[in-house]
Amino acid sequence: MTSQQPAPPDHLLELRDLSVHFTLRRSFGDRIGHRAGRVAYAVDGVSLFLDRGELLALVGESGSGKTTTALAALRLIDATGGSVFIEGRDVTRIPRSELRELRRRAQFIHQDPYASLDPRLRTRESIAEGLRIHGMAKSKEAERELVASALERVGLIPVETFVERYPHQLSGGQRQRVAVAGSLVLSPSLLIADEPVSMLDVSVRAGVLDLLDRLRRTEAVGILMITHDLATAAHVSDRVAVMYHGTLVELGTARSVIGRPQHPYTQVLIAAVPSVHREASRKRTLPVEPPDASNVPPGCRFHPRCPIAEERCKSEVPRLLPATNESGTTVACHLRSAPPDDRTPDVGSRAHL
Amino acid sequence: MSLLHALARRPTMSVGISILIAFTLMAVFASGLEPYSPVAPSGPLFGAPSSAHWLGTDDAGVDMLSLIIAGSQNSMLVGFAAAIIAVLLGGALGIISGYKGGWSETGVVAVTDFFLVIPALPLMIVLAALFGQSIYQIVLIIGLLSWMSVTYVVRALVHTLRERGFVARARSLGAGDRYIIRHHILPHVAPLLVAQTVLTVAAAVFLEAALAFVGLGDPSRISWGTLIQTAFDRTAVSAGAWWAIVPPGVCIALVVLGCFLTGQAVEEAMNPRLGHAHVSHRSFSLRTPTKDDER
Amino acid sequence: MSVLELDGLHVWFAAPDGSFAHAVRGVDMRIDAGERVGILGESGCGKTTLILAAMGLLPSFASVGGRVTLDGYEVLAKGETSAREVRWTQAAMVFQGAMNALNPVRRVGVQIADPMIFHRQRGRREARERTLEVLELVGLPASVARRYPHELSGGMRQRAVIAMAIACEPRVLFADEPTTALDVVVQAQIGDLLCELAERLGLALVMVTHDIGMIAESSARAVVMYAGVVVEDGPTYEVLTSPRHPYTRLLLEATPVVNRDRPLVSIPGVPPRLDEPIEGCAFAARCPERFEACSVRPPLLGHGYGHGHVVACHAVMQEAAS
Repeated sequence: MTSQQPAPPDHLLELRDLSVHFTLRRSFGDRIGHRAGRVAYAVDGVSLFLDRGELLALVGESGSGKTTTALAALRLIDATGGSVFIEGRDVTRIPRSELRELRRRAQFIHQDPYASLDPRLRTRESIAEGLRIHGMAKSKEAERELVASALERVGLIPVETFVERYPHQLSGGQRQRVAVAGSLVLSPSLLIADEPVSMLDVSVRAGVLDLLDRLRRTEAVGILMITHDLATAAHVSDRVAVMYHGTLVELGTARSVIGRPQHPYTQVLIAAVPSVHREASRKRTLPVEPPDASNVPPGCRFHPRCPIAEERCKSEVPRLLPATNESGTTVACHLRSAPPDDRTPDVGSRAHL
Repeated sequence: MSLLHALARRPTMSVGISILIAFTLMAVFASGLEPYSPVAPSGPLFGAPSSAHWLGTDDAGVDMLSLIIAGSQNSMLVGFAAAIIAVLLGGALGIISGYKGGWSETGVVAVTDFFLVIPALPLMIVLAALFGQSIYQIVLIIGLLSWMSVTYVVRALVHTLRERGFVARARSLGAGDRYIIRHHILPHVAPLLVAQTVLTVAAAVFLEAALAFVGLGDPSRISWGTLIQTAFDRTAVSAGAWWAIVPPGVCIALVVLGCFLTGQAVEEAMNPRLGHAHVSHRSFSLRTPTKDDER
Repeated sequence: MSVLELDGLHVWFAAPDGSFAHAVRGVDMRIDAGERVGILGESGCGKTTLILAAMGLLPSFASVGGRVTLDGYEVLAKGETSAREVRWTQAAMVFQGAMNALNPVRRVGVQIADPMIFHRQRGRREARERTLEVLELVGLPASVARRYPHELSGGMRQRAVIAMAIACEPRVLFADEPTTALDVVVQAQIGDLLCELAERLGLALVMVTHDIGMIAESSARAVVMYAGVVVEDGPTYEVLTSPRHPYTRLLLEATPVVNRDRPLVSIPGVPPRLDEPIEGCAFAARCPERFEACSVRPPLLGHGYGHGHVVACHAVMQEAAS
């Protein structure tokens, strides 16, 4: 579905029906039988938006397509369908030559702070990399000031202690802050953070999460945070989008999605989060192994594993519609967004603490 | 930098580089080191080693030691020059094919395979016979037939570098291919190129000797290879004059050894994990905690 | 009767420049048969090194001091030789990322049977039978034996690795971050499986992890490590709901949990360097409760409160004494 109209100017980032399909290599049998290769529907029709000053958590397990969505949003991989609007411009349609400007305004924070910094470069060189690529620093003095200011904004003070260090002299949390500084120095409007804290020790996660939280307030950036950890999402995000198997299944404020999840999958995710109190009842197991992206079941993708699936779910694909409980969340489930059916049972329970 | 520190600590490195430095100095200061003239006779014909002539004399009465020292110039020159050509060419092809992938990679691999399949020495012989035997042509021929393994090794490394996190980060910052190759790929490939250069020097020195032995060396210059060839031609064997044959061979062997030791040391320093893999026969040791250790 | 005893265990790692990193600095621990212990700590605290030492699986640049006794047998008496006697037959381990370390060119069933045959416990036919037995124990269908690792999902591969570990009927099963690379739902399943196995087979389960949720759900006893020493050790429920040691308390406050409304805390500073001698308590520099004694004498594990709940903290001991 191509979109020629410009996005409404108020959204910083808007995904419209974004799809990323990978054609898998044809097996020998395929070639003989003249069959087309199988397609992995990694991302299939995802729509959401994000504004400045907001932090949206895109939650899902591995294989859900959340990282692919993030990469496609910044055109670090090519989308096969739909559009991505950043500050009103359709980035899936712009020519490659204009991509560099996009790279300045929209930044990607990588997951692994131990891999994303070149071990041969000092902190100041890693941070200045973006400046050098875009030719933004007029002189060595100017570059030094910009780097120092970025280090201050991410809380790596006193600045002098950190500028000359090599990555192996920094902790994981510090490296991640350096990566953020390297992005901030370009004054972006959009930050996409891919599992920014999953590789860090628990005791330093709060610091980096707080940093992201603070940044979106003080620097007027919009942040899209990819995570598989609902607890992390609960702590810093305004809104949460839950992905399953390439599609969005639930979208709403953090409070609603996590406090009163509507989609059966979200409910299972929340129930699976471990709790100290063993009294909390847990619905741990899902019947049937998760399928792979090239094996998409008809109808609702979750129906083979869904405890409340009905006949309709096996053939009709549910759309993201407002939830019947009127919490403001949108959910892709026939039973939760259709005209209210009060007899629908609640599946699983939330983790109490 | 830490690489140099790691290198300095290895005995293989010290021995290897000492050998190379020794021969390089010999080549550079050749004219000053030669005790006698390398062209004019200064002793008996096929004179055995004596206090006056440490390595004896050749069939024309020229001092062997002076010949060896004079020969080092050309042998080392060919070695280094051909190695540099090979590594520059092979490195460039390796980086381009490894980084770009796609058709450029397929093309480079095809060409590399083609050259690999051709028996290098016979081809060198043919080329030398066809195009002349000046030392510059020898350098070119050896260089143009020694780049293939460099390409493969560099390509493999670039494949892994391409996937590293900091390359992905540079790309997401907006870097183009040229920037990434210049600032992230090349610096990480450089140590490997150094190791490869050193190893190619060994091959080149040996190949020069081989070509010379077959009679295709530069007849107007003295090199270790031509020394061996001359000795054979002038019936040193039947005259029992081992000192005319063995010393040049030993020099070649020493240079090759020096190159291998240095190259290996550089590779190990680049990849410290080669030192203690899990399947090492050595296991942990036992130690009694002292008072200080008690927390 | 304890099945595993660690007495004054120390581990040093030699660095290329000749210095030593003191990774485990004197750990005492007693674990009974059938106990499920979770060792909790962040990266660098020495928890993985500890269990590797218990099995004698340390590299050549490591040196070990102290004693590890498994069912009365001294594992480290003669270094590698004595350790090999008990390896896998008495104590087995599920390594971190083991599910990705399965040999891709051999069938899963063969890999599970391998240790049994190698340790001369069983002949080929018996090993095959036992393979099917353990596959059932871990909840995998028998057909898995004929598959290759890449044909299985992550969760199934982890179960296969666990099957491999229990194949020789060890008394102790170590698990190093058994669920880190897995999805939340599969994590819960594997955690349950480990508990079940411990109960059914009377295994002592020692699980090393940084994931507090994992500890909460799968272990009855929690041991918290910091900078190479044990700082708190007690029943999981107590340790996680009323932690005594300041580090444990801060660690819990730093852990994001669903449905908690108060802000996250992060612990300022960094753990101390292990290649330099540490005066007094390793946590003192970052501890909000520190006082003079903390930087002078290292605290010993003492009974703070409760049944079998010990803490290594001067502040706690002082309070308990008063």
